[in-house]
Amino acid sequence: MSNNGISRRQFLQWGAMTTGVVVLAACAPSGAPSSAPAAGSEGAAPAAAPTTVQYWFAWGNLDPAMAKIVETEEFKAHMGGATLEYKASADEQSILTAIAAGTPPDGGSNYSYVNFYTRGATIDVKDMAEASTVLKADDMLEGIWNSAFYQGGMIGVPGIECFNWWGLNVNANTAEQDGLDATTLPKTWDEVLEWHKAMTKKDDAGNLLTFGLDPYDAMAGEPDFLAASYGVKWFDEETGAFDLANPRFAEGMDTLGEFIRIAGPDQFAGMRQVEGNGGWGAAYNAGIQNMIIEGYWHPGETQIQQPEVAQYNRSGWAPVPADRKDANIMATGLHAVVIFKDAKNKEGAFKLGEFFQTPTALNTIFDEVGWIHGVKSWLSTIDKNKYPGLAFYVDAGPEVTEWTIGRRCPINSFVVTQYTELREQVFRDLIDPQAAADELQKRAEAEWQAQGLG
Amino acid sequence: MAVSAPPAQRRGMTKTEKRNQVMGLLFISPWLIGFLLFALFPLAASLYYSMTNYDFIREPQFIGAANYVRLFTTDPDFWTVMYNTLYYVGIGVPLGIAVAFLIANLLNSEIKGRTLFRSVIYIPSIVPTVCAAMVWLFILNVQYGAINGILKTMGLATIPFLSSPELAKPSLIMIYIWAQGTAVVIFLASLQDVPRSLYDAALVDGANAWNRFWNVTVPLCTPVILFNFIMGIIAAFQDFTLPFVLTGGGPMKSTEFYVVNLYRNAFVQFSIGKASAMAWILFLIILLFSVILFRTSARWVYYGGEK
Repeated sequence: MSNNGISRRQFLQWGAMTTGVVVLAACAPSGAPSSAPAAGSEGAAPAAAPTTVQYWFAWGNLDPAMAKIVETEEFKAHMGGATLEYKASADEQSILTAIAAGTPPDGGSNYSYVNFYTRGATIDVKDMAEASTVLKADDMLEGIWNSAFYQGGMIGVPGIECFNWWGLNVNANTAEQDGLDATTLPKTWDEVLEWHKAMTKKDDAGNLLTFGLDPYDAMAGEPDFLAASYGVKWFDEETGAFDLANPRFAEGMDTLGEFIRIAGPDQFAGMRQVEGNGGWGAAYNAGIQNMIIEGYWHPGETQIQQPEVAQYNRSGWAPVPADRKDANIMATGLHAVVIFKDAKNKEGAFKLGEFFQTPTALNTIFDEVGWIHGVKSWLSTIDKNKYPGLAFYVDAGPEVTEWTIGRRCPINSFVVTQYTELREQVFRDLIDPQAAADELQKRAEAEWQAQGLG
Repeated sequence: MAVSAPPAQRRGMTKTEKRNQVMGLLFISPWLIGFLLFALFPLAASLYYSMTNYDFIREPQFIGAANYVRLFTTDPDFWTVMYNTLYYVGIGVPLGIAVAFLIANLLNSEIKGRTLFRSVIYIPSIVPTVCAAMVWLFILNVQYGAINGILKTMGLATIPFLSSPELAKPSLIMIYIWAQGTAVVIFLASLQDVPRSLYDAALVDGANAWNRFWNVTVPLCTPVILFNFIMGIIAAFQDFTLPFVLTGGGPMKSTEFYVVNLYRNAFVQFSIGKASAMAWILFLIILLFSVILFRTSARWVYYGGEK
């Protein structure tokens, strides 16, 4: 008897084949953009410019400002109708993965700029910057403009938050309670150490209650700061040479280590663990830590997070050794919109960078997040007393005697990791400071060679 | 008379067999494609990357065994993290197994509230590690921890469980042991499989509680002890979340375990080639430990009363 129907076996066979084809089709690369003209078609219009700009930001702080910026008519007009696809808290792992997959966003900010640029992940924007009518070099603080360049190329469009990085912030209230004169902040390490001793309190059993300064907290935690404080240039970006074994660098590790010896290394380590191993400022906000070396953002962020502490914030010059007491050190560094090599809409990303120079963007970011970008014409318009301590940073520029442009070494992360371990060995008295500096130099040079940068 | 068997005739597959083979392959193709794309290819790629200078961004440059040589000879962290990891695995896993086995024995006895105890012991295994880490942070922290809070109120010096290089690793081992709920459950199942008749026979022979435990319970549970040992070693060698969240590898790299350092190399220092080499070295170490355990298991693992 013939059977003209479909058997169960045939049904399963065809079903499997159909599923296989569907799976393969789903795995295949997507087709050409719909805006692309069909091959061979005559008189087809040229492909339209991408109508979206993908922008990733490494942290989450910018969200409230971005939410307001994208709604402004000025922004919409500047972007020519392009839609911004903004992604916050897209950390370095995410962007690395996207780069490796060949699908990075168009622009990004707050990443390891020099790392990405020297490895070719982001493009040189010098030509675009020169052609721009919005971006004005002479209206930007010189150090910030210079920080955007690396070996002649331009890493990105400076913006969002580029301003002064180093200042000693003091809780004047606790200082006065401890019998210190908060109208004149300490300037040398010796003076700061005396304040630290006065502010460090322990109970009868030796448990730490409050302390003065963690000299390795926040912006002071990187080798840039220690080196600048002691007048050392630890990395020469032109030659790729390291000077971490400099005796003054070793001296600095010993001096700063003394702060931690006084309070107790284990107590400090415990404090940092509660803060989240690398988080900044929580101990200051909690009133446990009474001095912190931080950037211009500290007054604004403290005001937003802990106004009852922020009202007592006073800011002054970051400490230097006594033999350099006339040195006013300051750092700045890049935050920028960088454009990725495989970006689909490079022009769109550049336009976004341009928009961050406008008063609308600058005001919104300042009001919503407390961040500043060093555009001279705009700086003169802001209320420098809006946050206690901010005036120091705004007025500091002309009095700075030694500028540092931070985080310029392509293996900065590696050096920071090794420096963190070795300085801890120093303040735990497990290694001689000079031996630690020598070891740091050796490790940095070896890594430089191993990464093929030598 | 011996008759030799006729030589086996080789024949090709019939049409039906071929079609069935194709259909079989089609049916397993989703798994096959997934395995090739998401398991085999990454494995092969990581082996290749381990022999390159690769940073995720630039094209990988083949450098042979240089990453391996560098790790064993000049890398500043490799031997430190290896020591930390072996310390953690070497002490944590056997202790964890012993504690889990003892707890399982207690929970296997006729005690009041046994079900409750079983649940309580298992809960740590289902709590996300990050949450558990945060809880332990506020139990053990030197300034704000619950234990040290009590010590402070008593006027005693605090104990830097997690912030002293000497105490940090033992503290993490303690937390590791606390989270042995899964091993306890597996041991419980194993204990319930031990034949009652063997205990009865031992009683008749005059064996006391310890003798019954040592000569009946332990031998009959050795296959499960072996299983838990191997799974424990594999997991402990790859422990990441707990040290990363709790101590960040500190103080002074005393809790920088192998996989934490591997991650740091890959995603902080952009050394994907070196990180891949570390991954393969770890694979070989785990393989070595597993082989040693299997090879020696004939001496101490009893299957059905026989070695």
